[in-house]
Parts: sequence; structure tokens; C-alpha cells
Amino acid sequence: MRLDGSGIVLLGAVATAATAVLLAVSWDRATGWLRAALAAACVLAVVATAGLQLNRMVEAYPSWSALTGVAAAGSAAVHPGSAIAAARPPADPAGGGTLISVRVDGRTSGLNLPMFVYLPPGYQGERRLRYPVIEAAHGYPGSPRTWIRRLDVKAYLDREIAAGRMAPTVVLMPYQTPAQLRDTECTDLVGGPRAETFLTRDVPAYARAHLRVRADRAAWGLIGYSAGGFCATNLLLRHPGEYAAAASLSGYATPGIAVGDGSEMTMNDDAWRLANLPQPPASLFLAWAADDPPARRNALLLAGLAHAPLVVTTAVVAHGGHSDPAWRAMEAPAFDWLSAHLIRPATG
Amino acid sequence: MRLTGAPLILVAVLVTAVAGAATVVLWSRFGRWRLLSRTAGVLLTETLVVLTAGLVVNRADLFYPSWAALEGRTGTTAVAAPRRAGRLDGLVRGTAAVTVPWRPADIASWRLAGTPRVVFPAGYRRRSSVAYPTVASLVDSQTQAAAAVRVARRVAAVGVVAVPTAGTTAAALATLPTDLAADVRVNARGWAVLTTSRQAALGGRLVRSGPPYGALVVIGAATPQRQAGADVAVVRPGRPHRAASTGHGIAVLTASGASAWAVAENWAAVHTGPPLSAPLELPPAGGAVLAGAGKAGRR
Repeated sequence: MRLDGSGIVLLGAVATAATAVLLAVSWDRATGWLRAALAAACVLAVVATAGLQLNRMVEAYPSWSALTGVAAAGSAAVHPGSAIAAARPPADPAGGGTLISVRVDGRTSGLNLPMFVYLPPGYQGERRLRYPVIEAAHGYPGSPRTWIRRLDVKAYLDREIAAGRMAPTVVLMPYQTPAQLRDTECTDLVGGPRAETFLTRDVPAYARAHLRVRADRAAWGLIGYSAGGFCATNLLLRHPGEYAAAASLSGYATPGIAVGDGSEMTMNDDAWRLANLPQPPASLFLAWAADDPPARRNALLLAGLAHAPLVVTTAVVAHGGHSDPAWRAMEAPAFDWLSAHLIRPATG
Repeated sequence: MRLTGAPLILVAVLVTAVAGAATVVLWSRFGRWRLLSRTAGVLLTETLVVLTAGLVVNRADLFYPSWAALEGRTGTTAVAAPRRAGRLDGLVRGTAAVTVPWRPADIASWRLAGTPRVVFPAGYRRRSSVAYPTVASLVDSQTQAAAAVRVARRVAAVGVVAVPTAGTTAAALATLPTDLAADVRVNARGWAVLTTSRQAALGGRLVRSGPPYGALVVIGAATPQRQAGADVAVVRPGRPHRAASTGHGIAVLTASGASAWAVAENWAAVHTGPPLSAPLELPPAGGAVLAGAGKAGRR
């Protein structure tokens, strides 16, 4: 049974009902201790069910193995990188792209985490073409599975590429933390996981070594929703030599966590960066829902501070708050915009 | 009643409290039906507690600020503006690449030698919903212009080939992208500049001005300056070899004679953006909102 499936939530609901019945039936015969235990079972069942449904909504723990740390997550589906070219996973019969799961052994960061990869249609058949790349950051709590299951990323990419609004592009969806409830905000936490190094050094190194992607900076972009939107903006501003463009969907200007060195007030605060440091020649897409005040305020702050050579494009969804429907409404425009701000697939 | 309003939460809390109290008070009533009434009371109270907690959290964090958002209605549809045909599109017949002389409104201010040419890539007419990136070639003579046109016809990008004079400035050429966009279906991003050594400084200034330019390739001995945020390459005379070595962030390619033009054009083309259909777009933030945001400054 899947940890993020509807079956397990149904099971939880059944357990909740069963404990309630048990409490009702046994109450008159039970002693004080047993009554307390039965009541506790009721509470436990309902809390667990709510938790399972919540997990299903954010995909923080997409699998059982993820509970013990994502080092083991998705291992069943792992294709070793070298096997991607050799084994050639089956192309989508519908003509769309292919999702595969790989493991990134981060030599620089020391993190060893799984990553989902979207290979565009034609990737398997065409042996010489190298593709532009978009790294997709997930929110908190969340996982790469959120992109796949909640935000239907493959369907959107397939559609935009088929319509010619987006060039065939490889999309990387890495895990950002070894423990799902450890919020890294894609920074190098002092004394903790070095997520920034993993995402900006190890993941690109993996992609360049194992996938047919373009090496040029102008071919590399970032996207993220919610906390992942901060990741996309922050990594673009901090690594303009590695990325040319980023799209932030309902993202923030600050990490909202303590990095450990106070940098959340300065070098990891994007409003501070824009106000106090030279701005890089790069492009930033800021999208938000009009009824999501924090995201709106943060995006307007960044947009107001940005100046050439940094270029900002804004996009507003009327309603949707801070939710999957809002991000789904932004997804296709964001990917189209990114593709227009990256260079094309090319041989060599 | 608003999804995030206090009244709804107040109602939820009251109903939850009533359900909880009723469950306790009526616990031993209803005789043989009490199994059913107790179970129903417990489940109802539990459900209401969860719902109330959900409302409180949602009010605090505004995940779903409205009933419409909860139902997944965003009230917004991304739309693709139809591609406007270029004024010169009618000159393109058939599927082969087409070269035409180009006389836009601002041509006099550019102080070029002779009339520049525009190259429509093969398939331009058929792909009528697609806009292309541009490779702008700045060369020394009409003979070189002919060579530049020949190679420009082979790539999937619009070409502009011009011969600047000493009076041609990057500032004056700032009108070129908008003039071209009126006449030809071109994207506003991902252009490349191809120049000879003598025009390298002018090409560098164009690329330094930023979008739409993002790449520069120079044919000859001149060493172009590295440009922040742009890809730069130089094609030096010599035996062609495939691996482009990089020194100081500049790709160095080697080729001689006619093949130098082809090598430079190919490098330029692969460093342009993709030909694309019109993107799906959402409405941008209102101008007044943005203008005020900068002044609002730090929180």
C-alpha cells in the first residue's frame, strides 16, 4: 500500500470508525484504564488519518522508505545514470516525455539523494542532441513527487513542448534534503545538509555526466513553487554564472529559517541582495496569486528593487491562494517563459 | 460566509463544542440505541475538531483564501497572443530560405554602407505561428556580406547582415530589434551577434546592452571582451578542430577561409533561443502596483 495513496487514507478512516465503535461498545464494561486507552486510540486514529491525508496533499513522504530518510526513497525505480543511455527507458507511447528516477551521489556536498528526471519526447531516439535544462525545486513540506503527482508536471511539459511553446527540455527534480521535515530552503545549513552545494554543483555535475544536456550557462534555468520559489530566485541571484533564468511561483524573498550564520538576513535574503549587491545579468519570472498576501508582498518587493541588467517579468493569477490550483495555473506560462529565456537544444 | 473569516471559525468552534458536550451528556441515554448514538457522537465530534483545526490553520496561512480557491477555481486562464505576421512575411514564397534587402524606418540613423539584408530561414512561411531568434552579422564589405548571407541561409534563425561604417554606433542600432520585430516574426530574446575582427567592438557594445542579445562570435584575430551574462566565442584562423577550448570564459574555435563563416554562424545559431510558438501568458502586475513596491522598500 502506498504511503501517499487514497487507500491508506481510507484505511485510516475505517480505523477511526472502528475505534469509535469499540469505545461505544466497551465503555460500560471497561474500567478507568481501559476507557482511557480506548479514548486515546480514537484520538490516535483520527490524528493519523488527518496526517496521512495531509501527507497525501503535500507529498512530503511519498513512500514508506522516505520515512526513514530519503536516502532510500525511490530506490526501486532507480536507473543508474550510465544505464540511461544504454538501457534507454521506454518512451511514452502517447508521444510525450519520460520520467525516470536516478540517484545523485553528491561528491561535493556529501549528500546522496534520489532525483526524478523528465526526458523530453525524442530524447531516446535522437542520440546527438543536447538539451536545455530546468531544475525544479519543491516547496516545504514537499518532495519531487509533489511536482509529479500534485502539479502534473509531465502533462504540462508534454503539452507545452507538443504545442511548440516550449523547446524540448530536460527537467531535473531533485530531493533537497535528506530528512523531509528538515527545511533547508536550498541553502547550505551550518552544521546541516549542504542543499545549495548539492543543487548547484552536484546535480549539474550529474546531469552533465549522465544526461545529454547543454553545458552552457545560458541553457540552465530554475523553477520552484512556494519555498521552492525562494530556492529558484535565491540560487539564480547567488549563482548567475550557472543559471540564466528562474521562475518563482508564489515564492518568497527570504528563507524564513535560520541558516546558522545569520545569512538569512543578508546573503540569503534576496531583497537585501538586490538592495546591496550588484544585480546579475539574468531573468526572473515572479508569479503569485492576488489573494496570497505574503507571496504577493514578497514578489512586489523583489520586482520593485530589481533593475538592469536583472530583468523581472511578473504574472498574476486572480484567485488560488497558496495552493496547487494556483501553481497549476502558473505552470505552463512559467515553463514557456523559461524556454524563451534559455538557449535551444543543439547537437555537439 | 468567507472561508477564512472569523465568523465561520466561531461557528465551527461552537458546533464542535455543542457536538462534544452532547456526546458526553447523552452518553448513557437512548437505551439499546446508545451504541449508535455514542459512535455517531464521537465521529461527529472528531470530524468537527479536524475541520475546525483546518479552518484555523487555513486562516493563518491563507492556503485557500476563498471557497473558489478551495474548489480549484483560479479565475484566470493563461492565453497565447496570436503571432502577428511580419510586414515582410509576404515576400517569402515556398519553403527554402529567402534573402531580401531590408529598408526599415530607422535605417538612415544607422549609417550603414549599403542596404542591409534579412534572411528568412527555410520553413519560415510554413511555420506561421513561430517566431525565430536572430543572428545579426556585422561585416566589413559587401563581399563578406555575401559570405555571411550564404551561411545564414542554412540555420534555423532569422539573419540580418549589415556593413557598418565608422559612423555606426551601438546606440543608434538600439532601434534595430524593434524595427525587425515589426517586419519579421522574431523573438525578443536569445539573439546572437556575429562580427568580423574590425566590427568586434561594435558587436561587443550591442551584446553588452543586454536583451535581445545574448551571444557574440567574432571571426578573426581580435580577442573580444568577456561579457557578463553572454556567451562569447572567437573563430581563429587555423586547422579546424571540433573541441572548442575556453580561455577566460571565451570559446576558441579554429577554422579558415570560407569554413570560418560556417563555423561562426553555427556557433551563433546554437547559442540563440529556440524558435517558438507564442507563449501562454498570465496578466502582469499592474504598473502602479510595481512602481509603489520599490518605494515601500524593506519590511
